[in-house]
Amino acid sequence: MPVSGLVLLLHPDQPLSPLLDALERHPDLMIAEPVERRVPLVADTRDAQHDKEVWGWLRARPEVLDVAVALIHDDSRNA
Amino acid sequence: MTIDSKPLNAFPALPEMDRREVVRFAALTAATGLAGSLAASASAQQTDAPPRPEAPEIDGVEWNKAPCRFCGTGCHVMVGVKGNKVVAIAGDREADVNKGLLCVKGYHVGSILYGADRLTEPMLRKNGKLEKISWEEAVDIAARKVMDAGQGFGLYLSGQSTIPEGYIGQKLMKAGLSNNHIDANARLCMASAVTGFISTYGVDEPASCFDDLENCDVLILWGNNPAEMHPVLWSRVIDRVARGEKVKIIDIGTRRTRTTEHADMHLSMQANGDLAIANAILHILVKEGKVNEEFVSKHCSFRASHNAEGLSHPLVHDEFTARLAERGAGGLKGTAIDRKDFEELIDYYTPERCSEMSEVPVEQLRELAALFADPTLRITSLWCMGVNQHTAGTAMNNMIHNVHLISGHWGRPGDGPQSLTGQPSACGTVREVGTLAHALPGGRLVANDGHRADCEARWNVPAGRIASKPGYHTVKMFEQFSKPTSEGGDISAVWVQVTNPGQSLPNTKKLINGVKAQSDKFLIVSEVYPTATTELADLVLPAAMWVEKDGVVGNSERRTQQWFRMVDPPGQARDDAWQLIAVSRRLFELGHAGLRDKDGNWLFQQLDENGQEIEIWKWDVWKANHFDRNFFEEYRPFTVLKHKNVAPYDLLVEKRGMRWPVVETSPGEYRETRWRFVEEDDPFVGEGARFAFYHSTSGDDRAQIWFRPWEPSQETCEDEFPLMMSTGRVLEHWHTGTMTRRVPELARAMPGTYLEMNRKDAADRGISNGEMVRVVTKRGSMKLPVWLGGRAEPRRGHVFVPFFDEAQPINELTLDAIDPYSKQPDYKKSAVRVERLADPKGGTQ
Repeated sequence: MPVSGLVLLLHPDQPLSPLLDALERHPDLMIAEPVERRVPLVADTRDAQHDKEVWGWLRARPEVLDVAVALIHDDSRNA
Repeated sequence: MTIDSKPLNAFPALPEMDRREVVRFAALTAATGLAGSLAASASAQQTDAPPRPEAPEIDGVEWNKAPCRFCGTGCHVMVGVKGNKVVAIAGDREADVNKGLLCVKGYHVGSILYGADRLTEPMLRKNGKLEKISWEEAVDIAARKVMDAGQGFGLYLSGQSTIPEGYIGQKLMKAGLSNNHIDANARLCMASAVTGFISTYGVDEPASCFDDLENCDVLILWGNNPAEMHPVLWSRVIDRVARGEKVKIIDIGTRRTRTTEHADMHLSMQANGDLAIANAILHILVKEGKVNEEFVSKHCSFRASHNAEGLSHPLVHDEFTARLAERGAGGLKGTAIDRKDFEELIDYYTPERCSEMSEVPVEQLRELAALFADPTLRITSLWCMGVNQHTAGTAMNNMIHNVHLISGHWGRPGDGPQSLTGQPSACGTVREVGTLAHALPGGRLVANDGHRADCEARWNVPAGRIASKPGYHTVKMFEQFSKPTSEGGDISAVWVQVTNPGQSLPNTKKLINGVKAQSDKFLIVSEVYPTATTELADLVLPAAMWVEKDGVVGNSERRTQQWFRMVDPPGQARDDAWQLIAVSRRLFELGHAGLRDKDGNWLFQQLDENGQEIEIWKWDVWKANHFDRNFFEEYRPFTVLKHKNVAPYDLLVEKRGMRWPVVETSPGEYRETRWRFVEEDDPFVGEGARFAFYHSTSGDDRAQIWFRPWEPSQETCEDEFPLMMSTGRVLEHWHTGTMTRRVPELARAMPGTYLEMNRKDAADRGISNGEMVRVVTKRGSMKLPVWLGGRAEPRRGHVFVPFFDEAQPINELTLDAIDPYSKQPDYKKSAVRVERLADPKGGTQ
């Protein structure tokens, strides 16, 4: 089950609150306090396919300029 | 990010995984820390950033630093190890290169160790099949083949070889075997950058550094796609954009890519148009009086050479070319010309004419020139394979330096040319240790009497031991290996380490595939996985990789980086350095005279503190120690000659790399250099000089501004082959895919290669997305699926094919023409045609 520590880099000209609302509502994401226009979060997913879907959802958000990776822990294939 | 798959490989499981909360917390800590350190470094410009937190805590996991295994960026990762297995990877926030960031490949770098088909035992081909043998037998066979082949032996190393591996290989070949047939795969990716730097500044490697990415106002990408190839460097730029900073991004190339999405201006050029674009900039600056007279008059000279052998001459320059030829001005050094000559020559390259050559609109050429004409801007140029893999690669490298030098956009933070490399130690090992057919360590040359004598003295071998004639460069080495002995093919045995020429060489059918059928040729391959090259091998030696061994590498910004072994290699796999040592020792035992120094001792003899010889050729002894330090420290004094002073090994153990020249400022205190040849930062520039190119080829501390004419490409589009093909890389895979295709997430994300085509070209041919087509060049044909409107799109008349796919090795079709100076092949301009198949699903013809 993959656990990823990610940082979203946000467009400077997009409002922050709609994205934060959407992130908070997402059941597989845990977000921390944004630092300027960077949002640290954890994606905790049940399997690799699910993980890919979450990643795709993040990338598709118009406010998101880039997704940076801070940590990966994935033991699902040997569990 | 990840895709469900069978366990071809994986991070091994942590026991007691009910500690998921701990992992989640660690991930959140890492992400929060990364966000904070990005913000801190952004505001502090790296100079006074606050202390950064340690690696995340996960029970029982021990964290250690290592540079990433993949590209030349040199990101540092924190490697989490438990139970002799790599179980986690985190970006290293202590590292200024990546500030905790990782790309998708770095994210999965731990998984590359655990592919199910790792090579774990030595194998010898018997009756066409590879059969397991012992290490003792393997070492003996390799040594005897090397001995028998004599000057017919070639050693082919890599920009992924570590510095100690390269140094041992270099010493073995040049001081031991008196054999200069040693080259490296970096010949295929950055040799033209080397010749560009040497001919411009008199010494190799970038003077600038990645800090420029935080300081530039304008970023020019010359045939470069960092969003996919150097994503972490790209993230450093995009992070500035996210903060609302204005960075004008200019993308020059034959394709629209992910990088283009962020560009302010895209110069869509005809293949081979780059020389015309750069000449247009020079023309405009000269004609409009925008030359930076102060910089040029104090720090630059002008230079030209007659056209190199093998390239056609542009008619307009015939007279001048003849004059230069009379002066013997060929070769990399050329001859000095005066400013007036230069201006006369550049007069030909009007924006209108260059627009015709490049198919870039005149307005865009003028807009680009106007940026260089503005002294208030800070302009950084980045380039990599798009410029280097070019029959005019040296010339185009010169041209990028030219436009910066003539405009004075040089030597301030954010203001200068910065070439990139594709491999983690193309700079550290190949360029600095000099694992090339013409080179000796530290920027020395085999053809230079003094350099040879110096190396012979340092290696304590008799005068005359090192041969003076350069050996075969990569293409020539494999040409001579592949050619039957009866037809003059005088290379009979090659040892390949840490690279996959069976897939990466151009025109592979000609250059290497034929070897398998020849019984008198012998190919030794040290590898971690089965590859196209092991398929051809007679002897396969299983190798340790990345954190299974110690290492030191050097990235694209002169940063030397070190790591220690963290886990054991699988089965019988052993370090590449040990393999070279073991074969060297066997050669010594077999009586090879070259393996003895002047005192009769083995060339690689290591003594303990009591003066007793350490048996480093024995695997258990090697594995129980860290001999990288010995060989790195033996190598380090070589680096002083060209002022490339690398840091002491013990300092590198403490640091996340240091950029040379590293000088001792007081006993035990060292400082690195960010901008070379600049008084404020480079300790070797004299006081008051401001800038000094102290290895100048003209001997007067000046850089050379070259006249480099536009030249037609070796292969041009014609009726039979109307499209121009370039090959290259993709985000998910690294080079030939040997490692990344073993990572299921990456393999599934990008499972196979494809033909990228302009949608209008496809429509003209009635080709639809996903359809199988046949790509045909003069060298053969291959069936590929077409990808239209995907992540990138070539301009009309051009196609692109990634080369990572072993099942569809596109380099069977690429041209093997080389740059006359750098000997680097041109993978970017092969004329092709694309044919529809009777069955567009590809089942039948």
